[in-house]
Amino acid sequence: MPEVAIEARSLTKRYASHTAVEGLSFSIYRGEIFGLLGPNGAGKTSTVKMLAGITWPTEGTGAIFGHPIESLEASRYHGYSPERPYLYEFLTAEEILRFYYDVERLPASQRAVVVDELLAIVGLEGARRQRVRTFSKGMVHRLGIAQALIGDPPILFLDEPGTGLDPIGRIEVRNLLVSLKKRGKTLFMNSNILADVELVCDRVGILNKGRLMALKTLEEVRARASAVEVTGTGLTPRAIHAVARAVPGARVQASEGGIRIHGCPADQVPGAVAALVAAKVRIRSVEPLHPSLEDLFFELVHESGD
Amino acid sequence: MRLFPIAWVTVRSQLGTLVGFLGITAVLLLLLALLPGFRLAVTVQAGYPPAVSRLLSLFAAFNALGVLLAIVLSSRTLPMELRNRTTHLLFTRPVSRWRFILEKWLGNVLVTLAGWALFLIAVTVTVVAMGAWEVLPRAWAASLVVALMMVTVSTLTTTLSLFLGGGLSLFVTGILCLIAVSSRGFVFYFDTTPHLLPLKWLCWALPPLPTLADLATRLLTGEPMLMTYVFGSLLYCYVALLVLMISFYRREV
Repeated sequence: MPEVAIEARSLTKRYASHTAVEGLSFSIYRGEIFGLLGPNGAGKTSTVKMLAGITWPTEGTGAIFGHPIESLEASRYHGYSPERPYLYEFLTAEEILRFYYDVERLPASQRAVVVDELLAIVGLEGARRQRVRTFSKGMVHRLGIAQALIGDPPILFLDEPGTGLDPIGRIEVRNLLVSLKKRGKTLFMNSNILADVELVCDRVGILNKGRLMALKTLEEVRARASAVEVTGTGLTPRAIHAVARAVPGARVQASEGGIRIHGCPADQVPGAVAALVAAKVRIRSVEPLHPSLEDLFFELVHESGD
Repeated sequence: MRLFPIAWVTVRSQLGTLVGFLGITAVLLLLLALLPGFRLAVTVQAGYPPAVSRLLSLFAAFNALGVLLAIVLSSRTLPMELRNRTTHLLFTRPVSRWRFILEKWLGNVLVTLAGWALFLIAVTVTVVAMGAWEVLPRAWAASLVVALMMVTVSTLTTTLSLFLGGGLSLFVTGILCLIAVSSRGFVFYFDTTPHLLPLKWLCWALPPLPTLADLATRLLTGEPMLMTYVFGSLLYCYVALLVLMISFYRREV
């Protein structure tokens, strides 16, 4: 059993009358890349802020390698890069990194080496003496990630790491995440960019209205291949009704040159095909569809009534 | 920077304001020192030897500007940090609330004292220009009292800014200082209006600004120093800092 790096037990956060997060429970294991997805206002940032020790849960508890999330001990194990890194804009990139290095009270003899290394990792060596207020969004993001890496923490919390970036900036940040994954970091990222999450994450959680709707590995998401595309001729409304009767709970949708049957597990495909043949459909092809993370996301959000 | 990085960044964030303020002050001090009408007024008013009179006038300006500087600088630091959310990244690090507040306070004190040191240089230059060498040691001693007063006001403003925000704390501390400076007049007025008695108590409870200004005068004119004033000021500082730390301990950032 891998070591639990991050643990949440019934985490709840309320702001006055508004409940941002309710009863969140999960475990993230060492070396895992976890993506927390959800529409705007779902409670993703509130969750990450509680886990990173910025705000305190109203109810419930959390732990980082067994240390309560509010403790100073827990903060020694993680770095945090916010959606919009709030850095001192009057400082230069290297001053920012030196500052956070000193805040951590790390050995003075290593400071210059660490700062150089981090600037190289995020590709900001050329901008080391440039003030943060002159940086582009992508540069600020990369500097935010660099400061999160100070002290080489085993866990990184990344809040919307690709948001607001141009395509090149997004690719740079995504490559950086892949390299961090290779270095064995445990990453906990919030994101709305599902394509990025699909590329780097091992497991995803889907949050909506403060509640965790699903917690799955990407393999589980892909294995949920419950949609089939059938092409052929004679796909009349009568034939579509026949399929719907043969596969209870399925949703049949017209597609280009055929139909898509959603909610049709593999063992029910023969029944669906038989129903179509009985309805005099001349089938050309039957193809399972691999749903993307986006499909799952929309499906779950739709189920929850949004 | 190594030992107190948060204090260092506080000083860095205030440098622009400090330089601007000092530029304006330098011009004002020069005008005060050079205007002939000013010298005449001082001599007539004070009744002290001319060199001491001029120094007292300079210190009056010095006190007012020093307090203003302390208020302006201290009212900004905490609200700025909270508004810009730079605290978010700090509190994901092993930084306790106590350490944050103490270092912010230290940064404020350092930048305020840097301003005071430059004021002191300006005063020294002016005294030397006047040729009043004999009162210079006493002027320096009196300026230490002003430094203490600036630290007290700075601490009070920082504490208030946590509850009231930057602009309002600047305004309230400014008004409090004005009342404190004029407290004798106010106290007499409140004696004749019983329903305003709580305000009389407020006047007595305010930082001992007028007494510190008196103390500066006494030092300059050779009267003995009254340690109670110094202790009073330190006590205010201590209480304000304690309130600040307790209030910030469970505050959401």
